[in-house]
Amino acid sequence: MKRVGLGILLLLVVALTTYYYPKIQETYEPPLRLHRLPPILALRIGSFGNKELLSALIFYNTEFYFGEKAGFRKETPELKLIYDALNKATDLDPRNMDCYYFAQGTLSWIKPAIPVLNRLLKKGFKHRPWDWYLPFFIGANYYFQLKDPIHAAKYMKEAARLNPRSPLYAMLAARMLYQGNQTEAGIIYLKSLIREAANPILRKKFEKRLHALEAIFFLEKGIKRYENKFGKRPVKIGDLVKAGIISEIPTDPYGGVFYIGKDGRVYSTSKLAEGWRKNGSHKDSKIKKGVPKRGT
Amino acid sequence: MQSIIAFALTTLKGGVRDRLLQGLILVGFLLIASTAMFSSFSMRQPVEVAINYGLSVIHILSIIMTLFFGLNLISRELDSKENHFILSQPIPRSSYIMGKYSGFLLNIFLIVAILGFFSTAGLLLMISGANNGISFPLVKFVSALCGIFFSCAILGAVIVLFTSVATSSIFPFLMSCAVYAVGENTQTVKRYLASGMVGKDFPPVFRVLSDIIYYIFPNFALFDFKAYAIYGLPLSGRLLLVSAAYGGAYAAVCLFFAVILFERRDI
Repeated sequence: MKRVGLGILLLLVVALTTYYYPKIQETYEPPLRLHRLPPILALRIGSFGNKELLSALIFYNTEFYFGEKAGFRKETPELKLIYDALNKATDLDPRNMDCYYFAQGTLSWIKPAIPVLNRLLKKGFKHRPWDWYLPFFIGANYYFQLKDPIHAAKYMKEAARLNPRSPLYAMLAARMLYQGNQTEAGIIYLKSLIREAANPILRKKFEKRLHALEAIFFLEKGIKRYENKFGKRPVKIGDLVKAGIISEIPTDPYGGVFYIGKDGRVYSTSKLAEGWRKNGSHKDSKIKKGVPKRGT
Repeated sequence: MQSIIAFALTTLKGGVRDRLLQGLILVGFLLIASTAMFSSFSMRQPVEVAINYGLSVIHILSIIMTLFFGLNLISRELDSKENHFILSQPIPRSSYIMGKYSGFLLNIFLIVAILGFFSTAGLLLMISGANNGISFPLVKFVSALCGIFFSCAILGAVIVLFTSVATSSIFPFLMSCAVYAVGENTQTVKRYLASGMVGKDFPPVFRVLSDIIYYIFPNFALFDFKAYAIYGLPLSGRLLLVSAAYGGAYAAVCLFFAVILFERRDI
């Protein structure tokens, strides 16, 4: 009888501590870091013939880190270290599509990261020449971030060739080549990403950007209507409301303020972009003085 | 020949009865059963990740079982003097070695086949459940399993070689682990040195040494067909044949020297 009592008491202690420890743990645990991986030769040797498995495990570690950091702790992930991990994972298994997809989802919004991101995606395209996703991503990065429509159209045509059932990529290639409306092309691109996105955090990111672009597109259409009506360009976004062209100014989901640039296009003080620093830390978008560039 | 078959069947029966073997097979089933959960975290390639996981688990377990089972093959009998009676009979020692090795091969074949069968069943269930038109690359999957079997066969022959000269079971275990670790990575190191990634100040003697090691140690990377199965890449029949010929020849050389050394051994 004593043993049963002791057993029940011990079970109760375990149940109580299991209930309470997450709260205490969250209060005292140190900042979550993604540790730098060893050199690729050491990883290859350490995999003992299971390079593909190690590559998948590195990807999972990076994915879980991103999920906990951005989704659970609501902190900014260290994007430089995410790139380093994904680069090494794809050195181990250059056909690991999860890595390329995740890299595009997390890094393609940061302009300084685009050259290294495109290098990573080109490595993927070399080893997965059947996969239309990779040229599609590379083309989008060239067009929206590097403002290089010639290279963008070349890769978008590759995507269209590999996925002939979808007319979307050929349409995007044509728009890029003929310097069509960048905002509209960006909306088409984001809608195609949202359609395929299974990860809820990435989907949220895409949707946030889509809302921002739709707001810009809405304002740009308003400016055109204002020009047609008054024969001149509005000075401020507020002029559109005053003239009754639009009922209210849409909000920037990134927290910035929309304004009309010298070229007549709509920009936001938030830049719709996130930071990328050399030391591996990440900087949230902040309102700054000067002429901000618009990302897609 | 009859004595070889008799030794092989006895070894097979002993292996099937071995608790270590049964325990590892149970662990294998659990790991394979977790395939669906492991692959569910993949963003774009759950089927590829599932095949990757299944083959890697089979590979790791088969190598562990080869090391432990190969060590128990002769070393344990020598340590406990169980085989002294058999060896005092008018049976050639070569038959003893060949019979034991054949029994070992049957055991490893059984392990790889059972784990492969369950993994295939799990993957087929997962693919049919996903219903996204992806076909299971069965032939390439079986080829990858053959590659794992060949790796184990070579490692087993290396263990028999070390066992034939060793007086305790620790020496062959450590040496076989070392041979596996080196053999799994000789190709990686050789290609790294050839890639020009190392500076000019890299000692030439190490370069020569890595070449020598590459040709002396078994190249286990040759039998790694996992990537072909995971991504459905075209697999050349010629590559399979050359790998099988290399593996067979390497194992035969190890067994040849093992027989010579074991015949000269004073038991």
